[in-house]
Amino acid sequence: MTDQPFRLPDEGDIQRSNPLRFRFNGRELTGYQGDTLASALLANGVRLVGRSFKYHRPRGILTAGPEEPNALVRLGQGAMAEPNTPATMIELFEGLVAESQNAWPTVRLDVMALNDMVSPLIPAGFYYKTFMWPAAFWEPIYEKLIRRAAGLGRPNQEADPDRYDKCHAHCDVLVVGSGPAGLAAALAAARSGARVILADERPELGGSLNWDKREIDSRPARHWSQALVEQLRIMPDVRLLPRTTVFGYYDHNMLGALERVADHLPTRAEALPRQRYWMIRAGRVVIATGAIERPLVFADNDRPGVMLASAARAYVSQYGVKPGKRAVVFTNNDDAYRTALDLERVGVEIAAVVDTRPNAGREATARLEDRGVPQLCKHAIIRSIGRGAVKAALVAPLGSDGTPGPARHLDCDLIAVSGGWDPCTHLHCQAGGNAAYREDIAAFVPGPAAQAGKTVGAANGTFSLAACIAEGYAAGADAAALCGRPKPEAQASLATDDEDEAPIQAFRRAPSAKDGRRKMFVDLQGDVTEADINLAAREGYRSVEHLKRYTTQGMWTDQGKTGNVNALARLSEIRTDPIQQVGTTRFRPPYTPVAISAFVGSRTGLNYRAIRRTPLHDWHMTQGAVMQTTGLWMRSNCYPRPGEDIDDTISREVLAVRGGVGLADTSTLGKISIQGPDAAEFLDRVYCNGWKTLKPGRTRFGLMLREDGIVFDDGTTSCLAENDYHMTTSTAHAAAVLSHLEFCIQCLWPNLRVRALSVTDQWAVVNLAGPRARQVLEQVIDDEDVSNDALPYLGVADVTLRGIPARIFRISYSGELSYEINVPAGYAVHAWKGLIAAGRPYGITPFGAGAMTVMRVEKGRVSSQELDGRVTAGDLGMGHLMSTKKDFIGRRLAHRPALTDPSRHSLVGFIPVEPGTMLRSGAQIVEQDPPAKPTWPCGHVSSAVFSPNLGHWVALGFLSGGLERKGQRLFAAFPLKDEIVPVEVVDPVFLDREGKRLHA
Amino acid sequence: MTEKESASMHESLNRQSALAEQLGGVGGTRAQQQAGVTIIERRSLQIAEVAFFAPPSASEKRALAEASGTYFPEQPGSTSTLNKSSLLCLGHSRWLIVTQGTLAMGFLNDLLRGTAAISDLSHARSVLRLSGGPARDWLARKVAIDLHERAFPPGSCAQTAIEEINVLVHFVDATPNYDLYVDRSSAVAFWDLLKASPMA
Repeated sequence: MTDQPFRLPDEGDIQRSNPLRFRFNGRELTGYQGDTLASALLANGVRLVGRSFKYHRPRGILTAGPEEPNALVRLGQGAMAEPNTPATMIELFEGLVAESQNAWPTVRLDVMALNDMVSPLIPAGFYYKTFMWPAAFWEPIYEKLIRRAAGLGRPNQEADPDRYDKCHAHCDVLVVGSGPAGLAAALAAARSGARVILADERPELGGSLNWDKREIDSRPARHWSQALVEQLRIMPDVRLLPRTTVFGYYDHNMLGALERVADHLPTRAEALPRQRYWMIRAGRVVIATGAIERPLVFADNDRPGVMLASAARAYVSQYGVKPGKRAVVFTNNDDAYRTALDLERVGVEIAAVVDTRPNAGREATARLEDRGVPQLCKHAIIRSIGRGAVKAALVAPLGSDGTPGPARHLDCDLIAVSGGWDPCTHLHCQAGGNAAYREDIAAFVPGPAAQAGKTVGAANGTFSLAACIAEGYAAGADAAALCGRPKPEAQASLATDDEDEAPIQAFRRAPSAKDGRRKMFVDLQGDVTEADINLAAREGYRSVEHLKRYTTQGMWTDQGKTGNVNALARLSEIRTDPIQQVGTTRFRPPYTPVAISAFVGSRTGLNYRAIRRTPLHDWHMTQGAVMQTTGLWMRSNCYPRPGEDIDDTISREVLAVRGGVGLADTSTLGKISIQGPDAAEFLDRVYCNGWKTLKPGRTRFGLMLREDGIVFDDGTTSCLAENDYHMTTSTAHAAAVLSHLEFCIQCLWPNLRVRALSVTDQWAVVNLAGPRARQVLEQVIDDEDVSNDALPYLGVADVTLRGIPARIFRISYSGELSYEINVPAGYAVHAWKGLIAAGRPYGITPFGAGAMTVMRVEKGRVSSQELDGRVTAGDLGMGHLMSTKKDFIGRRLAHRPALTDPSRHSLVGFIPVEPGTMLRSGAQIVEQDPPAKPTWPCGHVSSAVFSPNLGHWVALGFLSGGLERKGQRLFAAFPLKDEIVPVEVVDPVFLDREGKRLHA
Repeated sequence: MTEKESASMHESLNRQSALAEQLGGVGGTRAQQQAGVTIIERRSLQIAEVAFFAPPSASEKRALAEASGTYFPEQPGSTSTLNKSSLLCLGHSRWLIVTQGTLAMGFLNDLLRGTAAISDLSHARSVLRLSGGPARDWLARKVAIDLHERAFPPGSCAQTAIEEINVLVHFVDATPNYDLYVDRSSAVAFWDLLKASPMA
């Protein structure tokens, strides 16, 4: 445990009764409940927190909020470590561990600080001009060097062990920010009965009122805000979301927010997620996100000890920490005078208030005089002095033309700067709105809203406390009214002790110090200096968007919250254009960084995809099946026996089916019920072949084309009864086919009396295949006749299997005598086990998708590898299916010359010239070995399998000229493996060309 | 829908739930409690979707109400529940009949022959009932639709999704009881998602 030398004895809202231990850079320190890591570090006298990105200059704590550009740390350890976390937003907890970034070997002695010495060689955009030669160095050397040097922090390489949650929320009025304007808006909306969500990034609602020493309605501002929060807490339909950053404003008033549910807890309860991502749909949005204080630019303005004036005030008032012992306050407005007085009140010696204006406000000046604080008007700090941290400020009077007079040293360890306030227009701009420049406050404010939102309070450029409250209340009432709620009673104006203030001066940059070579930082996080802006403009990057990309101004994790306006102002000076003409870059979500895990939520590991399981899934698992995914479905690939590898297993299963009988779970096939008096007409239009002659009890193969004439899907459709059809689709295309059918019904032919509905989940399907299939089936059928005469190839019958209602389709994908037995899904296990028991005397063998693939290739059946969105019916040898007697989707465009060109690649078979040679799917067919360079393949292999029946590899593929080249010897090239295999072009049906097996 | 299928609705063979492993096998379902929300699976429901080819006539509406054993909900998103049966209006001219008892499919087929497509979905859906005070809050966070009582009063239904999983939400009553219908094949994934989603 250590002392906290900068801790004030009784100031702030921390819980001194609850001390907390934490470690920073290996050093054990203490703070209190209510501290942030930043305030605790300051309390312990830690001023050097990290190193800058490019020049590795020492950096301290600039702000007390999310805009912090300097004090980024790596929080946590191991898999839970998170880089680039602003110390100003980390709530302290017992056992917290954090370390500095961008420093090696230590933050005090950082080798890369040499960059600062060679900075003239590495100005903005240097990487666009260097590393050009020799070209051989680009990838092996330069890229590695640049990658090593680039980036902030180190990403975690381990899987994130935390839990995250993802939620939706709806409300009438979303209020973002709980300062004076936000609280008033939420109260007004809630009083009207509207559903209100009030979100604030801080752990405690109240915003700036938590550290504002002024009074509202004769009460301390903090007491006033706490009373309002308590009112809101007990009102119905009000949801308070502290620790929640609304980071994105998307279309249709959808906003993204991140709630830090458990980041502040030393140990996380099992039930609690670390963070929760909210997707909020709001009727109206009130943006009350306040304003961010702007730094002033002067030489060496990045040293630890340079801090925003408002932050210094917050550290004193909210956290009970003295940010320094002797301070210089540097300002162009009256607000910083409050900081000077607060610092002086707690014992910080004020060396001077350095004001760039000729005169400050009367009240501000009088209060300063009362306390004996020196005031230097028409002066500026032209440089900070010190090595690791500020030790003095060089202060000079400003001439009428802004040039500095003789400078003097003011010893200090804190420079509190205030260049005015920039309204937080981020959400307004993300929603599509623009920002407009207001001369009187020297800042950009929101222009007209592009969505159903309104910006109020300091975020709207309204800085008086009373006006903020009034504006917020009116906006909340209006928002509720626009959502159809009654307007609440008007609120009487509240008395506040706002002071009359003198206008701000649009002073942003102090004149250069004598040597003129000191860096004047505009964007502290990106190490972008004023010289970089000057260089970019000289090189022609005069558009603000170009400037941003060239210099990296505003491109870092803080998105330039403290630097953008100063950069725009400098560009405006160079271009001699008004700043509003220079414009702003577009703000995009997120407002502050969001861990990708938060967007992922609980969808990790097995929950990554919503896996679909067949009713027989558990049986497959108990049998040790090797599973595979097809789309969202999980299917069994094969059932290895001890000692078998997958290839052996698949071959065994194929031989078992071809030689006896096997059964497979094909429940994943898409199944669509098509019913209605116009169902046959409908099928006639969506399939290219004819359907009106299909009789009940019969099945037909169908080919569906897209509008452009390309094959969409194939499958079978059976006529169950008059006006009642059962369509099957491939597993992969089931959803697409149903969407297509719905589109046709709803949009193309709404007058047809037909409806389509997925019944995929209703039916489990068992494929019973092999020469003994009928014998097995007959064992389990209750009464029905399934002989070849009663149930021929392409027949359909309703039967019962030992009491289970079933529908049998005699169709064959494998080329064998085959039955697709459909049973209601809840009875699938009964049916499956019954078939296995009945088939045991026949050596029945379960087979998976692997064996099915082998058998379909042997039989020349096409699948999704062949139906790849490029082939026509003619390419597949199915041109004869396209009816010439009717219209159908794809008919006209299928006859385009390009789709009927005889040189198109059409379906063929390939076998290796040398029987032992392996063929690979994806191999390109070429005519020479080695192929000429460059060469155009004349075809490709789409599916290749080892046929255990034939004893060699067989493949389906496409070849220019197709079967006219039957017998030719070509080469299957597979460059990824540096293979080239001689192949012979053969017929694509390798087995049972006459179809005797399936008709058996 | 054939007569043989309708007969199957009455036979005594035990249907196996997709969530048998998670919630108990044949013979009953174990209630699961998570942060004040009780989850049970409603098993052995008879479910059928009726899609009319044109807006139904008054007599067709009466027939549907009679077959389902409840009254007729007119508007898409509205439902009716009486005794152990519900009729959910899923959309334009589409209704879902859900009953714990016997669904007279043959009778329904005869009544609506030529006017509507009727599909048995009894085995195609897994139905979970969420009950208890926090049920609405939890569910409202998970679905993109607005479940506030002003927007989704008791007796409402809507087709939506939780993550990638299609879910039909039926707000049965203000107890509150919510019935969630998911495709049978997605039931286990949905259950895993429920377990992985913090209720607090």
